[in-house]
Amino acid sequence: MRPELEVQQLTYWYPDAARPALSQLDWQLTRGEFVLLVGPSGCGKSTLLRTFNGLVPEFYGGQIAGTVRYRGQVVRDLGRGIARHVGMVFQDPERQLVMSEVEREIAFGLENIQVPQAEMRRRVAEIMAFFDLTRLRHKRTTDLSGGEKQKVALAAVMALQPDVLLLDEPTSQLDPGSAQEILDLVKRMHEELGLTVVLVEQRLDRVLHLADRVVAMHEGVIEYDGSPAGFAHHAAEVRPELLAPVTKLFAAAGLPERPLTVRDARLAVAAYVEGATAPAPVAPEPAKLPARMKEALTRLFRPAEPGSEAMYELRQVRFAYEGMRDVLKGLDLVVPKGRMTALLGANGTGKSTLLRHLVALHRAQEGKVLLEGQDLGQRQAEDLAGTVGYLSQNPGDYLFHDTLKQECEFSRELAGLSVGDAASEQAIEDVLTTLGLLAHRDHNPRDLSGGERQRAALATVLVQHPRVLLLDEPTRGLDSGQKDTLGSWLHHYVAEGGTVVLITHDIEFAAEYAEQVVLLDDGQVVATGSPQEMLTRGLFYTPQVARVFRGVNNSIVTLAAGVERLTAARPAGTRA
Amino acid sequence: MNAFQLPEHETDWRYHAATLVCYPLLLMVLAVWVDHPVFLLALLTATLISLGVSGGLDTYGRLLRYGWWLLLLVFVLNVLINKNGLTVLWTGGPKLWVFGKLRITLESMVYAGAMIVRFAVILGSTALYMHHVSGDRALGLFARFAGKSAVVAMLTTRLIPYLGTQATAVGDVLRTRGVRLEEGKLLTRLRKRGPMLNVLLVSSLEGSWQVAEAMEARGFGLGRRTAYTRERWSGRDALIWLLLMLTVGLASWLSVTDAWTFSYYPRRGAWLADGIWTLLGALLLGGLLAAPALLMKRRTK
Repeated sequence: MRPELEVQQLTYWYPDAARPALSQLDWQLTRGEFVLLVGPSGCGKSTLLRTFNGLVPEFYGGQIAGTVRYRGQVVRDLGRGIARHVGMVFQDPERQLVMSEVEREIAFGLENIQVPQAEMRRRVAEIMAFFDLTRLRHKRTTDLSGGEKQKVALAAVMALQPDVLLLDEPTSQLDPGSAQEILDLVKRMHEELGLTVVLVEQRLDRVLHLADRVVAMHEGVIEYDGSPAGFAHHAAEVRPELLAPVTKLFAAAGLPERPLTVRDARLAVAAYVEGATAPAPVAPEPAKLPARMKEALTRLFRPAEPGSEAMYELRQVRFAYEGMRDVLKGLDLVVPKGRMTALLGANGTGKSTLLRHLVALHRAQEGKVLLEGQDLGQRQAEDLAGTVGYLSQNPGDYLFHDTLKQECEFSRELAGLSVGDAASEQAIEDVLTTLGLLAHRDHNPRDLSGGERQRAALATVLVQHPRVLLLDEPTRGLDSGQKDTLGSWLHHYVAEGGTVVLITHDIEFAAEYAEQVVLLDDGQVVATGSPQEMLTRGLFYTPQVARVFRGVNNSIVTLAAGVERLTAARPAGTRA
Repeated sequence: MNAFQLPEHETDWRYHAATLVCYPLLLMVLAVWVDHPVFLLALLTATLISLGVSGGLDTYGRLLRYGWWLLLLVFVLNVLINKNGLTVLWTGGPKLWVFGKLRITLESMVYAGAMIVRFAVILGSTALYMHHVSGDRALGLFARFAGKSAVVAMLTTRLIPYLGTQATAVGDVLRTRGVRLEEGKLLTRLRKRGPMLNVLLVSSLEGSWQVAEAMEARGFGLGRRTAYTRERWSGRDALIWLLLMLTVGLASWLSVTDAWTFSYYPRRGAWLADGIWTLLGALLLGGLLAAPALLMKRRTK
């Protein structure tokens, strides 16, 4: 059978690039396959994806050698008509929607490829029914949630009835629930419509089991092309940072199995650990007290222990945006000094609003927010600069100078610190070194990659020497290696006495690095505790490692703890 | 979302967008065309009835909240500047710069009053347009003739609220870094906002690049576009258009016969120069303009 897509001796240079983004690739895609394209940031996977629909080089320019074919036809010869056959969904839901209303957005592509009016009406109706968008048909796209926007983007592409669907990290900007919904839709279209799918994704734990084939790239070349199971073995040897947590667990423990799913991993663990299949006895719960009384008692009799001093204390905080219902509804929370606290919860539960209270961008309409015992009620965000560092979801908002060094000096000046002298040079150099950005000191920060931008923005905050760091979804869009780098750095910052409060949807990250986990729901704190207490009992807010060990050891949440448990259970002489 | 507009799902899909656009447009044209205060009052009455039955009075109220000072300015400037009237109500006071010695006449007061009614009708018809037709529907009308321009206009309408949100976000970030945006004199405050413009410009360029890429991936630029529309022409539209045509016919006749001519200066003309016929003409014009509104009355939910 003729391949659906085929690349031959494909090499591509972006304009002014020193080295090629893709280097002499030969690759084929069979009709109806589901291929997962993986690799670290900047390895060329998104570029390869864009060659399949001609965006590279038609939109990006640059130099290209070799050929890309769709069903035997050279993609360049098809021009923009390739949109009829190959559809693409991008990373950022906000920046791929064109029209202001859902229904018109779905029709936009159909208008472009000159579909007649009657046929358009039929396709739009059909697609809206398939994606369950009928109730949103007249809604403004700006009023949709991130998940809804991405669903509309996917529907708008599918209205074109493409044979191949390309997805460039479509879930990286979404919360776990919305991400799963998008992936379920992709899976359904693959299975029910026989659609050929090429998916670029960082979170392999979500998608590895969906793929027929995995292609791993590194520095513009294909390093691995084969089955998901084979990929697990390959990555364990060559690129362990690409592994899903369940696979990483076994590889790090030196065991030969390479499970791809929690179910496979649990079976393997059961084989190693005696009695693993029987659920561990659950300790009887103490008699329940009314929640408020319980909190009051806890406050009264809390023992003084190292690290228990409060950096923040929030008492019965209420807040509503103008003309809206309450977002925070009598929220109580203690953030300990010198710890990393992770805020978890679905979208719209008040996490970002809470974080903005901590940096005095919002003022509690009722209740109090205390920073080291001082009421923030009359303080402005500007007053806290140098004490509290805040990193919003968009690192681009921090970067507007010509060089990273100027950006850091601007921050120091605002905090009243010296600029241009030896002390300043040293301080900036120290921060950039710890964040691995020293080589980019004199580069324009806007030219950096996603992960580097994130760290550059963090650097502009850190040069003010804050004692508290507030981070709003800092791992969004980062690859596994970048997350590890950030996590290690934050761990070090906390060890040095800093306090971190971060919002994340990344349960694995929270499990690995946080010391306190807070679950928010409907504007209130519904549970607080250590990762061991918080991330082992649930179904959703549980890392893969904890799911693997549920019933075997209910206190395991981190990879290191899991590896230790498996190593202890490993029979002598068993090696990977 | 535009604060003045209904959400799309609440706009009236029983009528073709062309009908919903042309009705307030006719009100606006007549407001500019008509000179006679009695006819202007008839127009205002029809506009208010139309807003009332369609549920657009809230939108009108919000527009007036921003536009009342304009009405006041029109009145005050007319009264102060215009000295052509002969019926002096008050003269004297100090000699003012530009205005000279004050001389307030009855004629200038009547003229200023008529101007206010005219502006009130124009604002009312604007409110009616905003209330009836979403930006999408209006642009959809033009997409058939100028597809690419309609897309550009659509992108622009999305960009403005996006830039507003971005500006707030960047301002907040600057504040957390220690920039005191609200301190200092105007020039200092503007200078402090310099970085905001920088970030907004770069973000907009990056955003435009991504949107353009997504558009190309969906075949934009392939050639002449077809136009998607859900608009349907119905008997109701035909009836409304018949009424609108009758109104235009009546207005033309009134204009040709000078029936709505009114002299403000040097001395105010008679309110009802042609007696009962002037009154009947005004009533007929107001009635014809109010009729489509009554036919288009919103369904109660």
